[in-house]
Amino acid sequence: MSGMTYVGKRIPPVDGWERATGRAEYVTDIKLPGMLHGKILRSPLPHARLVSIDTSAAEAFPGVKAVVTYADSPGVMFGPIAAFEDWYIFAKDKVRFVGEEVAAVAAVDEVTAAHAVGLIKVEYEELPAVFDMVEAMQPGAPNINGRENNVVMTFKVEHGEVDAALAVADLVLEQTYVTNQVYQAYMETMAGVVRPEAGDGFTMWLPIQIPNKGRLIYAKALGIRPEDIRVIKPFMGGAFGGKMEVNLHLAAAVLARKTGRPVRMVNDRAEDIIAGNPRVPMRMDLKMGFMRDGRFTAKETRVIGGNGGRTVYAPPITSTACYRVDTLYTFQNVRAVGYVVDTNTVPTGAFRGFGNSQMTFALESMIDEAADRLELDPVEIRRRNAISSGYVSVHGWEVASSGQLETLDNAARLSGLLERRSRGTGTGTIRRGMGLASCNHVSGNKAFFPTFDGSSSMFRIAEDGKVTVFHGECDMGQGQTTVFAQMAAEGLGARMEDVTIAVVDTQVSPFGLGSFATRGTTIGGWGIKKGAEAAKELILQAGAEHLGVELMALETGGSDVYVRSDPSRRVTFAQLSRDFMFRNGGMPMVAQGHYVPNTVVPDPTTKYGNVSPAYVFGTHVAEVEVDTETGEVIVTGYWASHDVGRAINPLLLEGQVEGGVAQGIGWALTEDMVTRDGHVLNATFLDYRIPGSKDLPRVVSDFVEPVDINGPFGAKGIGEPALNPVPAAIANAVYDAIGIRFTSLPISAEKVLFALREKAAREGDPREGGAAPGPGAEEA
Amino acid sequence: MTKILISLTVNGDLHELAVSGHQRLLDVIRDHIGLTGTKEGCGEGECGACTVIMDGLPVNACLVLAPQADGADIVTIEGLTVDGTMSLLQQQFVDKGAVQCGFCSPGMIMTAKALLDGDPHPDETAVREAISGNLCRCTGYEKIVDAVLSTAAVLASQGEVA
Amino acid sequence: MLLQLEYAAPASLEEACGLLSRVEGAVALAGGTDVVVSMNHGKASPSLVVDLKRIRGLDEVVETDGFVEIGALVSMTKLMGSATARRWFPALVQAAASIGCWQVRNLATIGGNLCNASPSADTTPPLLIYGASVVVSDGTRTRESPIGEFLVGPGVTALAKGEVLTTLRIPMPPADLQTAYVRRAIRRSMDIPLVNVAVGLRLADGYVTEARIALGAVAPVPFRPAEAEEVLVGRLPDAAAFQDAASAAAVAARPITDVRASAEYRSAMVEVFVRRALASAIEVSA
Repeated sequence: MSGMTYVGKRIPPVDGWERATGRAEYVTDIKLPGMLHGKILRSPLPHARLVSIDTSAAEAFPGVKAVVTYADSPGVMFGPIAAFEDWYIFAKDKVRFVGEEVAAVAAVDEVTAAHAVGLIKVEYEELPAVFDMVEAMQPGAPNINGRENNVVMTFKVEHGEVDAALAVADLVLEQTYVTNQVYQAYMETMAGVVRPEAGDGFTMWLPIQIPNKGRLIYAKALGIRPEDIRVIKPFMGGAFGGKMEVNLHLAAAVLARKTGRPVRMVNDRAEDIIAGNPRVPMRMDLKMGFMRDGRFTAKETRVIGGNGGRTVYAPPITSTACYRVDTLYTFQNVRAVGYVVDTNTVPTGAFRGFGNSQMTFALESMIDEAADRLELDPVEIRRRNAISSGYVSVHGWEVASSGQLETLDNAARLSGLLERRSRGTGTGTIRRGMGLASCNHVSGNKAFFPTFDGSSSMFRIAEDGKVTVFHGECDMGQGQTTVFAQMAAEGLGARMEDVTIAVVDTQVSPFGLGSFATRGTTIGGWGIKKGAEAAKELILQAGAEHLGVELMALETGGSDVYVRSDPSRRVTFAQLSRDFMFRNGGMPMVAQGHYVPNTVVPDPTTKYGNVSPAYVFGTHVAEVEVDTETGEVIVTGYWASHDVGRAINPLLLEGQVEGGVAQGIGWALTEDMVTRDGHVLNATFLDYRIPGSKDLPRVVSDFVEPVDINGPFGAKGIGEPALNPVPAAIANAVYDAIGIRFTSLPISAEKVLFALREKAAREGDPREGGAAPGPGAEEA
Repeated sequence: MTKILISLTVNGDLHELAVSGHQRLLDVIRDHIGLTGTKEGCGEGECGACTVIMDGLPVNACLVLAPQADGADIVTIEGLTVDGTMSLLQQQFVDKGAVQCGFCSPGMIMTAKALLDGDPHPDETAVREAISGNLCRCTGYEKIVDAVLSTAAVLASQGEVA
Repeated sequence: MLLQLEYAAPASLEEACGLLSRVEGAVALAGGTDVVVSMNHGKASPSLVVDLKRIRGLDEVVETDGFVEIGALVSMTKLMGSATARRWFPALVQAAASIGCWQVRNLATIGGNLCNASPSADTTPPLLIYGASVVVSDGTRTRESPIGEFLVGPGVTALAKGEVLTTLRIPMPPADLQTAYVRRAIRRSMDIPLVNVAVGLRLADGYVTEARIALGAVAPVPFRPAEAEEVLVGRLPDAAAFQDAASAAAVAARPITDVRASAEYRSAMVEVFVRRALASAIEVSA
């Protein structure tokens, strides 16, 4: 497939000009006639019974048009996952976390609404609360949602003979790893504009990753049918997993219904931090067996994931953490148990990596330690266990293409890791170190939404030859629109400038699942390619009639149909579609195509089953400098090699890698949601520190293209794997620099300094493990 | 509550408005005048999404009270597009892949423009310093820095200003 | 966010002071980088903001007889660009340059930074080592007091109702005063210091004749630890002396644990950064 026109090219984002000129309309830019502004009254307590709510003062305040509570909602219990429905739009009898929605106000402007919220009088009866996941599982802990021991879900999976394999191992390592709760910190906070329509329906302008799936859930919550909700997804200011189902949208809908007017609702930044859906904090006990030559014999893990006060996506995230890495290496003997636990803290949701990133930190740290102990280098030990194309894992995952070995070699070669790492030999105040970590991921996940996976598109060729492509996926800022346009143009043979990817509008667009599980390029892309192929078939037929030649002799290119052997004989798409329309009563030339991956829902007991059409691999190398007087860790160099099947757009791929690495560096070093008694103490961008321009290195990106048969044009995904290896790469680099392993995130300066002091006091063995604080909330 | 009459120039156009004391320049730009290119990301001067150029210097529009903008000369992102053609700086941002979700982009571009207006030949350190008040969560800043440096290089070779 | 707020932009100091003394809930407004943020967070609900920026004559940097007068409304950016400020008070300019980000520095004023009286304010330690005093006006009379007396507690100054800080009056330092300003913050972009230190040293025949050290963020109010300063006098400016001074400074500090750092970590950083500041002060002129 060489010689493609658009696929494989560094093409700037087709909608970049709109974003760069300020022309792009995001949800918060929308103004509708009669639009009101909504604000939510959020619980100030982590666990309390709702005794009474008096909205009279708020309702009487000038400019207030409505105040709503549970009583104004259909009172349906719902949630993103059918088996774990525990949401209400507004709290019914009690609140379960600081920030839970208790009531909402719609007023003529935001300031009035915010003020009126303060006038709502709520009487709470405080209940004992529990914040730590391990504590919450103990008998006698305050019960939050009526689940035994606050356990939302227990997940078990096992293959092979784990105990026997551990027994024969030359080296067994056992360690607990803890990853903290971090916030997606997209620049556009959660928001929605909801307009009531005649009857029961609504039009909702939402920055949502899952326009179609979301409305299924919202319909249930509002007591209406999905088709009564029209979701339009305008430009989105980032999401990274955090903008799936968002209760704020529903609160706006309740207000819209009561007032009969459109309602705009936007979280301020502090609200978004305390009441968003941050990453699932995890405590992972990991045990692995290794042979002397580096082969992994077995892996056993116990994962505890914090749910927060209600269930967003912690269950699938925790199960993912339990066993997605089993297809990172050739594991034959694995056992995992995962628990999801309710706590009186903010509900946790999806964030780039979806549990795989948390477990990757643990696994890649342990492998690094094993390499050290076995006197193997970090590349060698992974090569011994690497997956090659055609592999089928213990869980039945079919890895048609694997570029893992190449990513290992390329990352090591580009960074000079093996020659340049310090191995603890540095002297002086600043110590240098380098570390490596690998990852895997899916490109789609049938388990996420069992009743459906796949994608489709409709191509409409207008009388001027312009092509509009309708799909139901989601560009949340990652560049999907551009990649789809490339694929559409390539597949159809149109000029890219003639292709427009339509805004996702559920009234017109096909049903699509949206953006998660790194599925956009692969599954969404297939939908586009299939649609393009169908459109090509249609236009070729029209061309055959017009030119008087048989179909087989024709080709498309540059928005023309031409005779392959005599390209001067050609006709434009414009002419063909115009003729078609005029001959057929104005009917447009429309084609549609679809793709259903050959995947299955895993067996409920054995968890066996191929969940994704394609799997990706990546290897990162980080170079750090540790200031031994302050404990500060700075990342001074970074190399990332990724197996992407085929690089559809290297420019955008680099952007994804650079952004994923930046988020991973923040997670590893400076980001932490600091909580006390269920309250987030650092709910501002001043004290929730994401990396700024002076905090990041340049990243050298490399892409490996094994061209996966199951990917459109051979392509697989990049979104989440771009972040997965980062914390481990950094932790391994820190070990290389100062001989201390950190098994919990973040690796803050304070943690490093005190660990260095402890080590010096012990006059120590450089292999001594590092600080491993308890799970759950961290105190300042 | 007393309304205050202010008069300010925004992208070359004079506006006379009645504002309240609690409103911010950001509200004037987005709501009164209706230019929604300037974004609100945090409301406390910590993210730079609301950066506009006020009397020649980049400021956070969320920190300037509306009445304080009386008599000011403001340039917003919309002001960089002239006769439907965007500036070289904006084109470089697009071409270099420095725009992903785009929410930080207007503020980022205004800061970059202010930088290049004052210093046509910044090095990478100077660029990173100048934009350190503009947070981006999508790009890792690398292509943003590239876009600013390449704009400077092109302008230098053309002998022009941003 | 506030529901309503009255705004006044008096043209004279007299009028400004009058409003501030007469109106209940009136606050002074300069750059807004603290006041507006507090209002947005609901931490402050003034009834009236008195915008000082229309008052002439408060935004200059002027050399007078043996002193430099910096107007309270001088922005951080203007301070950084002032040849006079850079010549006489390099540590102050360095401190101003480390505040926030460019956008904030264009709005934030030296007077505002001082009156906000944050224990971690960047400009305070340099002002302490330069022996600055503040000039305060009530519209008719002025009074002058040393910075140390002006700052009373975290967020609290000695400004009486109706008074406005108009000027910082700083004696021109001796030509041989070698200074430095350092800070420890978690992030390089846009962060508040966990510890900040300003130092000034004078040498004669290679020995320290005068030592000035000021610490910020580790006490209710930035201060000069006298014991640490005394330790240096008469000694060679070497690593051992710097360590002794740093240890004494750490003993004198009273840091707290907050969301940014523990008291223990801040203490450790006092030592490290006093050492680094002293070494930097000597290096700079070497």
